Amino acid sequence: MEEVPSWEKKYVNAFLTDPFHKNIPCTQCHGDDVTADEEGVYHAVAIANGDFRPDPAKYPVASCGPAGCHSDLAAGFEHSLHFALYGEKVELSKREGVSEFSQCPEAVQYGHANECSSCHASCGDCHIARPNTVHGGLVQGHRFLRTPSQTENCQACHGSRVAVDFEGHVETDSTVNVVYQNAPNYHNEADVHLAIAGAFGESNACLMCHSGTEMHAGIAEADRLTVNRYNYAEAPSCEDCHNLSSITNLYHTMHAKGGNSAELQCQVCHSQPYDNCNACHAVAPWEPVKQVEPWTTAGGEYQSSNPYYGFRIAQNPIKGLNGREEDYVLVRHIPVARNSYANWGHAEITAYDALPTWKYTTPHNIIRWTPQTQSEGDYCAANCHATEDRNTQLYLTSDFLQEKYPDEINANANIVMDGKFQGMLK
Amino acid sequence: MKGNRFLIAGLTAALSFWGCSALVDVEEHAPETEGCLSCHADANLLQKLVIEEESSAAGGG
Repeated sequence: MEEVPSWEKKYVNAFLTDPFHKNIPCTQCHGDDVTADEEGVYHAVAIANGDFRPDPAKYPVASCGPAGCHSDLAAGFEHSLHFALYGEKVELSKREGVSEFSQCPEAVQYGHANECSSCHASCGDCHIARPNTVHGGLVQGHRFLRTPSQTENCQACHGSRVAVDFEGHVETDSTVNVVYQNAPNYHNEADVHLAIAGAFGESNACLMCHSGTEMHAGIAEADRLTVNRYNYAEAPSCEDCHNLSSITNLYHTMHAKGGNSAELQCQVCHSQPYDNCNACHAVAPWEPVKQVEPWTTAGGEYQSSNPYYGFRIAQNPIKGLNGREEDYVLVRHIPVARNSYANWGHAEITAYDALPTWKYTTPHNIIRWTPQTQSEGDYCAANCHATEDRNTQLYLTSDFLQEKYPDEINANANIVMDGKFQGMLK
Repeated sequence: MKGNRFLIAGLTAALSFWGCSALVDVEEHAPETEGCLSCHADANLLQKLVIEEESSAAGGG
């Protein structure tokens, strides 16, 4: 995404066209300072002494909650996953072998606060401006937009592992797995829900599943040490729209919820290959200013040779959480390495093997007929079961880990598919 | 638009939907805002100021 010129990030020409917010003085949210310092830098003194707030929406209750306007939303949002990052903190804590984030090594807490937290969402990151991940910029001249922009807000953050899949920008390589060898030159299709949103005139397809209620939902205090993005009440589900009991084809009677055999996550059949990443490293050292300004990658490089496309089925790492009872699900390789936080001064993650490095995933590239479900002329399970090449290429197995990720065998020992069904190797 | 009861009613309903109890006057804006907009709504002036500011921050003349 091309960066907005720096002057344009401050160009608020559309503010007075906002019928709801134009009566609020700029200074009420941003603080009061209109003078230049001796160097000719506007607002610099006020920023330094805390009187000027470039992004007041980093404080939802204080900025958006007063006067009875958005008090409920702001109060909830301050404890939401997008704002408070409880999910990230839970994962970090588990990999450090502690029960809560405050017990993590100081280097991890400090690094997270300065680097990870810098890109996580304020009210304004969805309703006014592009988020820091793309270096900011007003979406519509400081109009407050009730509906966030799919491309400039949601996908600005969720680009590499959602937008690319969702819009079908993936040239699937036939080496992804044996199913795709039978579909040469296969090009991923866009997620069917994108077209459905368009047909309904929705400007932001994300919101069809991820409602405002979900985005603003506060996580209850009792859940903040265990929550992740899949196990809270407002998380969307396919069944919110699709009545599985009304779909009676053989695939579903065997593998859908309540079926006659192992229960599969819907995406196992209806997703296409998706992004995976290897060995991401924190960037630090960072500059203190990154807490209020977009960070840069000047200090290092997050990823090299990433992402890559893949498709692996494994045992459900979060079975039982929030009704997610599927036996077998898609898993995505996440880029955590033992030394991912070395640049923060934390040489090695303390309990690296405590969580799988292949993580429950819900690729946003759903279509009805995928190469998995295309089985004309053969029996329905032919694409997934019974032969050695399918076993080794479709599933997460110890042999695969031994060959490609030997350092991650222990971390994933509880989710590999070794011997899980008839015809499986080992 | 002043006195347009339908517009006011519509805005009030919209505000109510958003949980906002205050009635917005669609014609007025806060006088304090004028000072800010004198720079921030003038594209030419803002470009000049930002270029000067960035030049100053970079140690240029």
